[in-house]
Amino acid sequence: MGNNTKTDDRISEFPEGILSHILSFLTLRDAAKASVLSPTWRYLCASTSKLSFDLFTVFGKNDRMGMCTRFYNLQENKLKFVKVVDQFLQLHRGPKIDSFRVCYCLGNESACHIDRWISFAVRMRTEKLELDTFFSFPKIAMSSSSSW
Amino acid sequence: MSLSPSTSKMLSLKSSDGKVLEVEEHVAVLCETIKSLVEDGCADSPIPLANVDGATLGNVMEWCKKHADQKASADDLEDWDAEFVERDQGELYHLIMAANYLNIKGLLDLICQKVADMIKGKHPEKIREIFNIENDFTPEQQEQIRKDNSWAFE
Repeated sequence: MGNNTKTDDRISEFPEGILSHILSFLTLRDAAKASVLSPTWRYLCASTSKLSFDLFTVFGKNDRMGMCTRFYNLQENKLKFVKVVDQFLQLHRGPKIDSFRVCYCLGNESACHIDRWISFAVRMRTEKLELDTFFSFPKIAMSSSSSW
Repeated sequence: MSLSPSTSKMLSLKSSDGKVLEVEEHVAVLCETIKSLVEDGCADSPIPLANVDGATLGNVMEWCKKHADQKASADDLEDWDAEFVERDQGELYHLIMAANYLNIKGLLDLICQKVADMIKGKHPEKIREIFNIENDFTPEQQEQIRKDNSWAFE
């Protein structure tokens, strides 16, 4: 077996551990797209243990110099963000989460969703939970393991 | 045990296709698998590496040599790594499998990041084309998964 230049389906031959590792370098947006590729990718995407939801990982937008304030403040974008997080968590198969991060400008009207996300984090024995919903809520940052 | 470059002895590594490579110990121990063998006094000569072919082993050791060089700056290593990963998919595949087997976290992360970069921002059809991934979903399944993940396509 040498270093050949064949472009066959090498990527699907990787053990799941390696595919998971590759997925961990993708944003959730790209991971969600990749879940359409094959049942293996779908399964791995639904069991990813590092969840980070923010402007970039959900909408693919970079907030350069606060240029996205308007985008953040649009109610329809807030609703969409909440829907994406809800949907992603609903499809998640576990078994556990290493880190769960939500960083988005959400209003008080999202409180019940955020409560659900916290319950999800507890249920999944999340090692590190980071909720940063800007000024609408006090910043909550928790790091825990077995005490939950 | 001293693993510094000045006192480093040579280790023989034997690839799956029978090629023997002489490598300085302080370079080879970047592979955790080899480091454990050396520390346990089990580093028979040559060390048989049944899962790594000769060409890949050469590439892996080239990376280890560069990263064992204490004179290399972080910027220098970054530039060097960027060139190192410019390879065809077959080579990247073998490098990932070797880095995983030999337990070299830095190299594994580097190549996995490269593969992730090849996927980033691309439409699934394009990813399928690049990696020649077969679509084994039924049209109904495909439709459902697209619906579940529709936000990522907007």
